[in-house]
Amino acid sequence: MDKKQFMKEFERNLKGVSREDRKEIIEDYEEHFSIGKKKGRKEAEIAKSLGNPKSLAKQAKMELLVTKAEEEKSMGNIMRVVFATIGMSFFNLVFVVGIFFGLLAVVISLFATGFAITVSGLALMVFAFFPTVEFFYMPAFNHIAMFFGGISIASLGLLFTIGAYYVGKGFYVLTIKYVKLNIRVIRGNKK
Amino acid sequence: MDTQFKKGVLELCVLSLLTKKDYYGYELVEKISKTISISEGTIYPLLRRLQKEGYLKTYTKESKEGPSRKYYQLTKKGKQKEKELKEEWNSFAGKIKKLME
Repeated sequence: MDKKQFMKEFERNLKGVSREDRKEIIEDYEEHFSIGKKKGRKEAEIAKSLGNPKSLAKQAKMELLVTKAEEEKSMGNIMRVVFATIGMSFFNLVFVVGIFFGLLAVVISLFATGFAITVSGLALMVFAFFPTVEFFYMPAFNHIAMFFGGISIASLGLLFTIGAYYVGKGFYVLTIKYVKLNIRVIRGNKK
Repeated sequence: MDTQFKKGVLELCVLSLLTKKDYYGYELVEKISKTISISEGTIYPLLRRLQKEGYLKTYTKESKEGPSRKYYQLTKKGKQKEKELKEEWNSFAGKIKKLME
């Protein structure tokens, strides 16, 4: 493989990386080739010792995605990281992705529960103002008690949602840590 | 040697070489691959990461022969990190050595 083939294969696997980042990444390898040639090495020899262009490109891309997900926490960013791991041939990939989506479902349902509790509390508070609504069918139905009951249920729901937020945040950080551990240990095949 | 093992010490190798002087990428790769055999291309992503994490700074300098070169320089934070990693490595290597005696 000569320089042209190497760079072509490398760039082909950098799809989805922003133009500036791509330029910077490519420049490093261009410089490596040109200095190597100045030192009297053959292109094919340099390309061979650099390693597999495809896995190098994936490695570079992965680093960028992880850094981005760390800097700005968003669902999209963490998803990109998780999906990029699929192309990295982790030995325990299916297992890891399975667990990720399982835990993600747990986090989402925690949020849903918190939200539902909050809404039902709010509903109680609102209905307390409509004495004519008789949906509890209680003889000694006390609207004031209903209102305050609604407040406590709504606050419980909010607390639950805050708790879910922290669980979600912890999950996010752990996912990044786990992926980092893997890319920094496993990747880079050859030799 | 085991690939996973090599990857772990690569960071220490880079930081520790840079405590002596500033190197450009090719030089670093050359130096390291003389000692440990790795795919040379994996050093560049490592350098980029170390730079992003604030351990390294870069500057470009013209060279007499050929194109300008990107040099890597340790930051204060990088020097600190190197010390930490070196201590960790020494204590780890010491323990293993003891085990093998």
